[in-house]
Amino acid sequence: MKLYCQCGSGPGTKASRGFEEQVIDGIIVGPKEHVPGTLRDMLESLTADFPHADILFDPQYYALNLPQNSKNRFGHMEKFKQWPNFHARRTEAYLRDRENVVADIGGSLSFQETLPTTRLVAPNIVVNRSLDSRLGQIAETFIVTASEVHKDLGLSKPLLCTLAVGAETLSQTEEVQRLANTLISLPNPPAGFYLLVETSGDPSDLYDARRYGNLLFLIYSLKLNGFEVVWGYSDILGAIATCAGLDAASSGWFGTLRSFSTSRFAPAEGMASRPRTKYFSVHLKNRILLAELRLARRLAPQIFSSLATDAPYVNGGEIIDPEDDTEKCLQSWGGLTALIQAIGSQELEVDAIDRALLDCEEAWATYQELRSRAVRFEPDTSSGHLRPIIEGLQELKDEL
Amino acid sequence: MSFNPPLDLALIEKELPGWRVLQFIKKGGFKAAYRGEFNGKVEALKLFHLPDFGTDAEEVAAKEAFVKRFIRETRLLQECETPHLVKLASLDPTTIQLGGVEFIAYSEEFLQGESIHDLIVAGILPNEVEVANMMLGVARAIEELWGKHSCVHRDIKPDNLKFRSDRSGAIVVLDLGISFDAEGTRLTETGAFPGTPPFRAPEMLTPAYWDNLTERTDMYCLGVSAFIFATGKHPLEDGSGSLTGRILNEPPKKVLEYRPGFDPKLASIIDRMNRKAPPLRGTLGKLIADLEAFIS
Repeated sequence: MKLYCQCGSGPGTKASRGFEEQVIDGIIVGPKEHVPGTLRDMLESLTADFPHADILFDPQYYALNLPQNSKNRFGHMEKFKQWPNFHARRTEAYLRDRENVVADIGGSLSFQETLPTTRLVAPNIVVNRSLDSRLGQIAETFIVTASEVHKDLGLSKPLLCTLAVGAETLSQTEEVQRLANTLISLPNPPAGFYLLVETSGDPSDLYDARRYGNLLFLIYSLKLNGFEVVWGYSDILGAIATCAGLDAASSGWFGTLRSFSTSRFAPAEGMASRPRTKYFSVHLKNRILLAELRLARRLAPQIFSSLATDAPYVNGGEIIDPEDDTEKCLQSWGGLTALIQAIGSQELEVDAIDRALLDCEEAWATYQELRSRAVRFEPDTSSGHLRPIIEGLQELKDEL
Repeated sequence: MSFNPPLDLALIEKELPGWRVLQFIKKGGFKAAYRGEFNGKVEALKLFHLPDFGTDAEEVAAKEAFVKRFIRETRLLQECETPHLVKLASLDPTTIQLGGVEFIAYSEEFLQGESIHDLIVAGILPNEVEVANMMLGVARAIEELWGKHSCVHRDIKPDNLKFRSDRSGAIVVLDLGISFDAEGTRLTETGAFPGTPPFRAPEMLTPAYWDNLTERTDMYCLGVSAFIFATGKHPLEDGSGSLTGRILNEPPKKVLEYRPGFDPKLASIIDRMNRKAPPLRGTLGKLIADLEAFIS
């Protein structure tokens, strides 16, 4: 059970500090945010300094499926020699043509083979409609074809197939179960899957008992049947999913790197405001504002995790430079890693799910206790996330 | 659908020259079993009742295809190497008429040992190693059927699991007759649910899944059989509502609820096989590895 850094910009100190402080185990980079040469240098340097680090390159192919618009934010993507026909519209007709699919997959995997990454991540599209839709069939074809191409090209690194779905598609229990059945029965299976769940930015998209429960079912099924499962941009939900066998969760330093959305590649809609400094509480399984931390900690000391990366927050976070994201990022990763260590399980034991349930119930009780003592939290720092998580965990447990 | 097993042993002998039919043993589903003798060797003679397909050209063609497939899949037994699958004996599958009713007749080796069903009826509760050995033998049979022949047995149950000799000998899986090739058609009457009701996996009750059954279906049937062997009770026995409803919707009991002193590791392996969703049962390879680790 690991935590990866979902890297969202060029080389900086956050990732290397994360490895030094042992609060991350790997890094996921992508072509949007990096210049090819600089990325290679950065990865080589990380490999030299941290030889055990897992390094993944997300080809971000799903971005090419966005409606064409000159204002799309593809960053440096075009500079990477993954696809000769970068500008071709990935229409349904294009995606149904096996030659195109083989070329796009082969181009990306061959390119990644030359990078100092530890696994290869196959490109895929996002299935935002029903998993049984035509788009769902295309995504399935990409998975099957990726395994074939990986074998045909004789590539040496293990293959993770991207499985990118819209949060809404996870509402359909039967479809998710059918998908799990299909993936575990692939004739030429990959080593694992790189999961992405697209949200519209509204937390309730995935903070939904049915959707989270079905996703946990999918993760548990894949793991039990021998696949490695990495969930990109998964943040707190990913950390908790390690109790259901998730191998690696991932989180970045901005909100946009803590949940997955292709809107990050679409034309910008207004200016993003600078986020307020928050503290990640392992106990509450949430980020809370510093003012909330100061007040709540006096009444419920357990909400302060007392980790090494919490040092700048010991006195309520007064010493944190609002302009410097590194300490805040490390604190968040430190908390997520502590959460993973507390509830993660490699053995797929029902006990691990019980532990996670108990842990979340305790967080809920603390929120209720604080509420009864007039501590008020803002909507995104309150206990609203816990009930869907608890009910989702319970749904999986009931299946076992 | 039921059928009357032929009890006129002389009539059977008349249709099968060289055979002495010594005793009617039992009837189940579409089959009747007899103890017979051919060339001085005792064998299990099986008669599979062919359902009425109808007489128009399409129905006749369907029947021919059915018989061909049945014979082909019964002959599969000859190709299987594991000691945990019953072997075909002297009589190669052949169609015969008895009193105007059509059957496919074939013979298998005659096993002297008791069945798991016999032990359950006798109220014998096995120890953990006996349960694990039984499961491992059956898992190896499933492995051979699925891994080498893409074939799902679909009727694994205590009655079809017999010791070759005594209880220390190999467990043998019988009655491949309703199995099916994963890429072919089903060997059951059209519209009928496959398998034996208390041992049907949830996906066997969902026609949409019938053409996508895998080894995990047999793993479920093995799980239910192992549960009954270990505890003397069916995992859905104490539920309410119809059996079909319980198989589809009711959480099964856990081994430790009925046999608290049982080894929790083996109990969790059995419980895993009884999960409703096939992906949650894991792989056959994992089951075999877990059982081997437990036994060693």
